[in-house]
Amino acid sequence: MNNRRPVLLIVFLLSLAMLAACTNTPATTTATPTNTTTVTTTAPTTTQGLLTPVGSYPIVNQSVTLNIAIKSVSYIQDFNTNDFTLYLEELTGIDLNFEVIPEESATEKMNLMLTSNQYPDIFWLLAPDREKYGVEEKILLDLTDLIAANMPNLSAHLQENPNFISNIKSSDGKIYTLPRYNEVYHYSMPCKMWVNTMQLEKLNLPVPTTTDEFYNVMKAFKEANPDGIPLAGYGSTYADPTFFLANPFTYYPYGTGRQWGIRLKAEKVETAVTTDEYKEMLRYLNKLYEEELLYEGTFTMDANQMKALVTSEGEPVLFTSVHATVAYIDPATQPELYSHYYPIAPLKGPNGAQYVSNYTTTISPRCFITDKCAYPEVAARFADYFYTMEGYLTCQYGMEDKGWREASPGAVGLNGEPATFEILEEIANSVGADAQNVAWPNCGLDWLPDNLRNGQAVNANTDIFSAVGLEKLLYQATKDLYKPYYQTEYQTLYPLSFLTSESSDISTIAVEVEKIIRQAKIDFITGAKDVDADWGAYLASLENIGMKKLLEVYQAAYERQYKN
Amino acid sequence: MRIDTQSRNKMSDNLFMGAIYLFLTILLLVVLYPLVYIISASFSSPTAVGAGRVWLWPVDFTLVAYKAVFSYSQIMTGFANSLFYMSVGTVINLILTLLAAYPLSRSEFRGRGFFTGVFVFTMYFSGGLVPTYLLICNLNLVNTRAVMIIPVALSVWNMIICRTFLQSTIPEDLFQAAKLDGCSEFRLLLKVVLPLSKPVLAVLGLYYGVAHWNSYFNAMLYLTDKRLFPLQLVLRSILIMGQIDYTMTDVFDIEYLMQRMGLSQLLKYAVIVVASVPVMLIYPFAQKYFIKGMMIGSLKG
Amino acid sequence: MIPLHVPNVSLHRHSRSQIMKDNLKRILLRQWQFYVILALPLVYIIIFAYVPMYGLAYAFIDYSPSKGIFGSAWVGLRHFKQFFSSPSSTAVIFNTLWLGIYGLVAGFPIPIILAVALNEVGNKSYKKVVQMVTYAPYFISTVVLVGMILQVTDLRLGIINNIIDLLGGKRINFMAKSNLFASIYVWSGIWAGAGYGSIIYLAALSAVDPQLQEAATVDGASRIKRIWHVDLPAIRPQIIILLLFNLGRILGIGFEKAYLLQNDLNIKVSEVISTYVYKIGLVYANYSFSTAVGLFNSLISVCLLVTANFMARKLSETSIW
Repeated sequence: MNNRRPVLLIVFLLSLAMLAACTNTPATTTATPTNTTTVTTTAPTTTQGLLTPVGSYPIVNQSVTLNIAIKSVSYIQDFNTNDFTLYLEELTGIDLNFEVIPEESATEKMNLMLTSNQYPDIFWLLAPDREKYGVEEKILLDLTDLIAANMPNLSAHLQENPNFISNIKSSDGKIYTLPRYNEVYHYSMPCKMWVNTMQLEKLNLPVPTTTDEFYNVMKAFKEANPDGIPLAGYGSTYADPTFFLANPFTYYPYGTGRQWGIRLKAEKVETAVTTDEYKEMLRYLNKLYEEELLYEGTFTMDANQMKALVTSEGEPVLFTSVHATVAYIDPATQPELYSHYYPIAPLKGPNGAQYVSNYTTTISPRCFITDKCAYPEVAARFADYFYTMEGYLTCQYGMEDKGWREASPGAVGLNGEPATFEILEEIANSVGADAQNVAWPNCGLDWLPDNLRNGQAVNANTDIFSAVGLEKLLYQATKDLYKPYYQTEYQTLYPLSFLTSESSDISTIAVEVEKIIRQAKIDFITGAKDVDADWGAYLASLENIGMKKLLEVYQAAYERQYKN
Repeated sequence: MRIDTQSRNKMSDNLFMGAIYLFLTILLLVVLYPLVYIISASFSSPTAVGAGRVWLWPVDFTLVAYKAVFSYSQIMTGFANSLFYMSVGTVINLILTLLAAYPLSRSEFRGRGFFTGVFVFTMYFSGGLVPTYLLICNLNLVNTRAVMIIPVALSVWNMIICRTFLQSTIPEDLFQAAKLDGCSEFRLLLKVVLPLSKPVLAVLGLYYGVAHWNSYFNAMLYLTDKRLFPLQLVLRSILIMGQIDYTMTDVFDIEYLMQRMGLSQLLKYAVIVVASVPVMLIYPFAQKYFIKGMMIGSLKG
Repeated sequence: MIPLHVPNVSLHRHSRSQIMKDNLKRILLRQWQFYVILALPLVYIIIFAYVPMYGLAYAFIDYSPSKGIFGSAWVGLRHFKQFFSSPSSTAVIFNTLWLGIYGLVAGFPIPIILAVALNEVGNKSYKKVVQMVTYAPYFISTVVLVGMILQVTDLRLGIINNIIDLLGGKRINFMAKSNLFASIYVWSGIWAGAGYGSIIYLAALSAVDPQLQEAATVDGASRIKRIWHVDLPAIRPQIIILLLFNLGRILGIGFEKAYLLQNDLNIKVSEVISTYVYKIGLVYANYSFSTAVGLFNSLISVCLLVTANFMARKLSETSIW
């Protein structure tokens, strides 16, 4: 009998496991998130009876509840009790029920919710994989028709530029997301090189305009300051000096596909990392490295080390590649040091090339409606409010006449044009103690083309080196120094949507290709490999690993999305 | 002859003790320095810390970091919650651990090998996050205090340590004697084994307690009501932006990002101190139970 | 003759099988008590560990949430093949193993040495101070730990290089040297965990009968001899069990620390299984794929554990089962 017991136990365990597996049935299981207080009043017989005419408020005739999963934001106390939320509920007649997910685990939790069929009506500030959950699983709703019928404001915006719809549609041509558009001017060309103007003046050196001049200035600086650091950067995004220093040789993109140097020329997807010009760039950087002009810590530092370097005794760093030096220096506590740094214009290379790479991810997916939503039209109309001017301003700054108001006559915007609005009360989307609860800064579905953003009334005399003058500084620098070199012959790819079969095909190739490119770049720059002798081997390794396949997949995705 | 051996021993003993003290002191310094740095940095101005000017002592002494940390009202709730999860959780942990370790330590238990296998198997094979998540949802544990305690009620690792301790320190004759007296297993467990296992329960209590205090993953995944958040989750949410390399995120709101970075720089070290010091203070209490010779008193009794 | 008072039972003890049956009954009577005691933990482990175990099946299917487990297509070993056919998989597995083995060989003895050393110290307050200080680094989160490592090894501002400079040497960019990566990874882990790990040994040592120790000293043993012949054997079971567990955990190189310590110069040695799977997941997130890799890890770990346990059984009296 003792022998039977273990067997019985195993059978028991197995059957338990089977039972559990059976409970994991498809999407018809109605396991709702446990903190919903979902009680809709008696459902209306037709949705027609429920909804008011498009564009009018309130949106519904009877109370409707929408369950929204949203990412926690540190400067917003509580989405459920926020003043703006209450205002929205009153305006639209909808009961908004937020499930706030801690920021750190947001993506993971979102994926868990989707994988285990425990998701709400709407995802906001969280971005599920549209290919997987929209095109394949059909968990995310196709919004194309919903937008056309229920969202006049968004529809109007999308017409402004044919690229917009291409940007957000998925591989089957349908739209699964309500986007946010933020055309931050200075961010469209984020790879800037900054110079310490004080050090330049001290040695009477000019601001360099070509790669040779750049080299000479650094050389002179190093001779006068043996302990100085002529050039430093870090990481693999825009603090990486490669982005700025490659463009005097060939167009090197920052944006989609940047890990592989992928860019667009005449609607063809190609890569910069196999070109001869790229080779010349590596030769140039190798020279800088060998002569100790490029700081060797560039390849190993993190943000904190870089920051310590820039702010250390004696202002040792002459040139640094970064989006804005405010990342390293706090203008409030170190105003003098901060005022010493200013961007320089893109350099001209030995072959006359003078490119600047532009960043193209201005539209991002922001809001999604799932198949668990009983009233998708209601959700769509609700979302449309955010795309109005008033909606944006109230969301961002709080109630009209408390947080913002229309610009007074004579007020001037950031771009020098007449302003359209002015801010009355600076809402904390900022540091400090308990967050505010009057608005949702940066959490709405904004539609912010540059002219809207720049319509904010500013003080024309703001010191560009003050903390508040940051936008002005960046705007000015981008406009004066970088914009003139914007061209369209070469372009950075717009974001692409891949079929899951395509993603699965290239997933290992992509990781390997990136490895090879980065490894080779480092080897050539540090001199571990010779840029002439080993170039062939490098090209061959890329060929063998499947670089061509990568490019083909990108080309197919690009054509599917943008050429129809 | 005896005397020679003894004096030889004394010399080698002294040398040996000298080596021990040297080893321990070096270890102490190596470990102490970074800790002192953290404490000093938490009392220094963020600019000084960022510029790398802090070596040993605070530079530009300031309490601004601590003021900022405590200005979050959530910190206090977090503290209270963590205390709750830690105390209730540890008690439950220890009960379950001993309940499992005892039968598995007794050689007479048939099926002992099998059940040990049942437990140990789960240390290496797990169904993964998705089924666990579903299970928790189905058990209605989401967003409750219980989710911080029940799913982690037993650590097999700790349980085996307990079993090993019981096996090696409680002599078999004790059991034989008790059985002759007609003692049931329940009485054995309660009256004999429990008092004798104080040292291992103290250590495991410490290990479990610390694990509870440091835990945030379950909270991150299953809790949405801020009133239930443990301290670690509160602190991590304050720090998060500083932990992500700012250049890895697409920057649309640079001022916001800059401020978050500044905040994290400011708070980083103060947060470590606030998060760790309370639980470190538990150690002296636990330590009482495994001082040398503690066991013997109980055995004799 | 005065009749002996015997219990009634003995009157019925005729045959051998009857005796055996009675013994069996007595044993079983005791056994049920064990089962009752074990019940609660068993229920726990069944619910929270075994019920979700069907998730292992994900490794063999093409999971689709809307179709559920049974509706999703069976793909067999495809995910495993995908992992093993990628060019980096061997290197990545090797890197993971190397970090694990190095970590075990270097890191396992240290908590033991620390505990034994502390046990010898007579001065109570010194002992307390050392214990508390060495156990503190355990609480430093991975992110802060890595930040400190980078800071300490910084080329210009790091304290190690400053000392080297003072002594007249040439500064070294430690994080740039791929042959130093494993050492940095392992020793920082030891720094953080040794004190904490020594506590269990300290507790075990405290259970050693002082009479035995006195006896050894009286017999003329030096401290070293005494430690070797009395103390260490007393904690041998703990050592063996923990060694077995750690052997089984060798492939479990966590994601966070390796990811944060990686840079372009050391990536050849710092890419481990968890970071590699993560990077693939960035391009194409597939839950089945990561489950498959995890299952592979588990299988290797269990093989290691079973082998080690077998050897432990042969060579000593302690083993897990």
